Amino acid sequence: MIAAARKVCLMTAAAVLIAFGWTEKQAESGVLESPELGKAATMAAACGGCHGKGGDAIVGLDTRSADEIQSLLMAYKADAAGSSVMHRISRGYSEAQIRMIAAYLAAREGR
Amino acid sequence: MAARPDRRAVIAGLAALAAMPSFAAGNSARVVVVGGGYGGATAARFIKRLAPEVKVTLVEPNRTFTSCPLSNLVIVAARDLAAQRFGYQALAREGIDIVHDRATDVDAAARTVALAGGSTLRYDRLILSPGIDIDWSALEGYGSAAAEAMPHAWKAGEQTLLLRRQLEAMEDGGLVVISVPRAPFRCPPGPYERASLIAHYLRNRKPRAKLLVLDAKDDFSKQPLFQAEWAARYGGVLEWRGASDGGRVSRVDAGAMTLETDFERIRADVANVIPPQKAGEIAARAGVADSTGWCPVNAVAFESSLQPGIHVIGDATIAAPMPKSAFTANMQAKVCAVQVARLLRGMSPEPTVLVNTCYSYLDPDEAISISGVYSNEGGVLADVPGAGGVSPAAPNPRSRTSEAAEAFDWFRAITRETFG
Ligand SMILES: Cc1cc2nc3c(=O)[nH]c(=O)nc-3n(C[C@H](O)[C@H](O)[C@H](O)COP(=O)(O)OP(=O)(O)OC[C@H]3O[C@@H](n4cnc5c(N)ncnc54)[C@H](O)[C@@H]3O)c2cc1C
Repeated sequence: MIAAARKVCLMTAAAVLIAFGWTEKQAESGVLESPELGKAATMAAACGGCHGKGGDAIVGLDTRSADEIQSLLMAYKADAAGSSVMHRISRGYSEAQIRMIAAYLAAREGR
Repeated sequence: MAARPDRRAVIAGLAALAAMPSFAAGNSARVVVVGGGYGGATAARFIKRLAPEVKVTLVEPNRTFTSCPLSNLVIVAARDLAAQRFGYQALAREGIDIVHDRATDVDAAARTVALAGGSTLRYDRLILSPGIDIDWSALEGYGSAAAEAMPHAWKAGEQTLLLRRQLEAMEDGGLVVISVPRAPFRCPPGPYERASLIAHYLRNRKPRAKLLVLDAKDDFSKQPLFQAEWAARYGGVLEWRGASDGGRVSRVDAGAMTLETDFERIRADVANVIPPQKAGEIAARAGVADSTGWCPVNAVAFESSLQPGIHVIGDATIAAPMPKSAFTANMQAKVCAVQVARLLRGMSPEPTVLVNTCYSYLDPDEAISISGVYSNEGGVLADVPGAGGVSPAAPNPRSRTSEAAEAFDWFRAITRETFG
């Protein structure tokens, strides 16, 4: 009964992961239990409007590690003189939110 | 190494959704999405991917969608309309039922949507993303027949091509007039992007022609930036007149090709009348539009404040300070999709942080941008203090061209995320 319920959980989680580009493997290795899903998924959803596979002027996020994404966003946030779109956006997030978004984005794409 | 616990925490967060009861086969929840534009197509795709067991139906009369973003480039012959068109094949492949029909009515109590073709769709949750309709009653003399002589080109397609042909056919030395309505309307910087591109076109192709922008407002989006750039680029070509200088157009005569303000009657060779707008008609039929013509929502899940079970996203909503943009519609759609999936499983929606960015071309190779970051705590959208803003007034030499390149990449990314 519990095993069956757990399997359903994992399958649903897998669907969520695939929806946002995560892999099933991560779903199964994931430690369950957290109230933060809505926030992680929806905060990271802001990125997809521009950062798809990447183009000439906008980078793709599919090859970057969580640390890389996090330090880039933190650098934008800290650079008070910066005026690019990413400077203006990064100032809207706390360090904890940036960590969350970076972790979420980096855990996609089956790495 | 430092990111490890966070990543685990994020993965753990998925448990919240995973722990929700799923629907037994044969009893799956139904979500109907009305409108296959930037909001609706995105919402349909994300719900289907989040919750494959949900039966998702997208109602959209057109077989191809024609994008407004970048359509101002089409007007000045810098882009083909074909590059603005997107189909629904990817959505169909993903298991979304596409119904090419028009929703004509919604019964919020019975939870049904009536279609022009005569059939009825049942829903557990309805998402409306119908965009705008022109408020034909709001400008004296303007109507669908007048729009054939004085195009609005505010829904992309034939209107876009009509305005392009009129500009091409106009003699050098002619007068182009753009009239801009009071806020709110679709794409706040759009009229000024269009003015910039038309001024650029005239300067190069019809150097004796002039462009007059008649505005029902005194302020507009990215105003200082636009005005500084206009002064530097289009000094003798473009004149902008705000409401306090008699810019507000109160009446038009399509036969005489005239626009009337409080002070004068102006005869145009080409008149682009951007008329007052309201939420797509189906919103009023569904009872989700208020007396302003737009739709109040609780912005955590974008559920209507007037009708439970109906969510409204995109241009149709009252979402200020978020502007009516494709970026906003796509962003709201993804948030709405997650929250609808949660609601269907009996969980409550969670507030988050949303973003908008709109690029505006100054000429076909240079652009400026505006960004905003918003919280939706308590269901009310609010600017996150200290974030957002516009491109610098005195940029480094490459900033305008790199923002034009970003605009192009943005379009590719968002249309891919929306239509596949
Ligand atoms: C000239 C111009 C330039 C723009 N440039 C930009 C830009 O650079 N960046 C940006 O972010 N935004 C831009 N926009 C704004 C953008 O086009 C809109 O904000 C966006 O399309 C809103 O998405 P939506 O889903 O609300 O509506 P839409 O994308 O218009 O989709 C609505 C859909 O609903 C369908 N529909 C309506 N009623 C019904 C019904 N009863 N039954 C079934 N289907 C129905 C319609 O056929 C349509 O396909 C621009 C707009 C204009 C006019």
